[in-house]
Amino acid sequence: MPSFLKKKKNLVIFFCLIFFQLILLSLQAPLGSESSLFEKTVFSIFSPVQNGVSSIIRGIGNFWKGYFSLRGVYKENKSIKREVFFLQLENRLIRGLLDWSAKESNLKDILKDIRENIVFTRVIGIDLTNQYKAVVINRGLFDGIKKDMIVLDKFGQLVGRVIELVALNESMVQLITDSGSGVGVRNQKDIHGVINGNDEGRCILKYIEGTETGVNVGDTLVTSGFDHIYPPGIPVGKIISVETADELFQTILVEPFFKFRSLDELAVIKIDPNEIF
Amino acid sequence: MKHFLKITIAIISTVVLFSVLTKISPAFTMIFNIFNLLVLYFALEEGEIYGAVMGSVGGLIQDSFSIGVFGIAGTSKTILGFLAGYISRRINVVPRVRRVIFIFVMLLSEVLLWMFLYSFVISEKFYTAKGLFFLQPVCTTALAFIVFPLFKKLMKILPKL
Repeated sequence: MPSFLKKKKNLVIFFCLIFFQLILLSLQAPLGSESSLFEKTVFSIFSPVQNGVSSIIRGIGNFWKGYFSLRGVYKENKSIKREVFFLQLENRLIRGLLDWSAKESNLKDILKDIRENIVFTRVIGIDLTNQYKAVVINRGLFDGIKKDMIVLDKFGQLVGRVIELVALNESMVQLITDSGSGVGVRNQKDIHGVINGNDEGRCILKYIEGTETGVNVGDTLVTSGFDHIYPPGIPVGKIISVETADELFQTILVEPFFKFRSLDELAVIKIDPNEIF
Repeated sequence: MKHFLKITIAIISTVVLFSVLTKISPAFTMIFNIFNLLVLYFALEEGEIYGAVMGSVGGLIQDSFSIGVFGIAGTSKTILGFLAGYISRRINVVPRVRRVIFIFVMLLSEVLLWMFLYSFVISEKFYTAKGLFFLQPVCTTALAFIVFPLFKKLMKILPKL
């Protein structure tokens, strides 16, 4: 190494590190939100720690509850809750299917498969830059999870979709409150639009013309199925404000049905909606 | 080997602490930046090179836990680690008040740099959790006075094991 570099060894190392980071930045920029292999590797190394801590905290919480509740009742309650979890989801999906394709002759076969295709999962991490963008769940490639599978909360309400399998046992779920997400929706009067997240825990209903009078505060929105990602009939949220400015489209704010605080337990629907509908 | 073990244990402890805080409340990820504490600890204790290296590693871990461009936090934390180590060798930051001010200024600079890089690379409005994010330098400085002694104890215990 030349002597002037030896003297400035620290600076050389620093600039090498910065150069390395800049290379990562330039390699990542074209990929957008998709993770590079290097990012997935870093995540895979540390996600077991996150998963472990999550399990320990949940275990402590459960022990605490179990200790103070009547043990038998608590266990029974837990199994009933699990049963209710699946029943609610089944019910929601069945209703969606009936609404959409009641005349389909193979409906019975589809319904039979639904339960087998619900994967129970837990949230083990959240997006560090914005909690309303994405969450990490403890199911991945090993559990048959694939990109674009839809994710519901325990009441069968839309949470988002799997955007990436970040590790073999973990996946990243893009929430509907993320500004990068888009969901085709309709209200009771069958007026269609698209909702995007506003990155602050709410969504914005877009492309409703200023002259449209069929969209009001309190309307319930469900998925329309027109985006070919989310199957129709899944509850999404409720309209909380409608502003008709002098613009082409109305400004409509939507409160999602899922509650961020109760996002601990989720369900991934393994059926590809395009195969059913 | 001893240094490698120290670094590994410190990184794992940071990820554990980060996971615990996230599990308690997602808002904690906004007001505390645990990875900055890891970087500052090594920069102050071991110098600018350790600071920069820990900045690279800590930043990349932080980036891997978020959607967005991989390398933004890595870059800002590498600069933080190097500068903190470099400046702390030239001015005395041992007295408590000076240390508080120094840590706060470093954390504030990192937040500003991260915001600049984020806006520049992603060109998207970043989420401030109704302004909670701007409390990050203050809250993380306060947390430093709980976490640094714990790190110190951990580093003292390690050679005995």
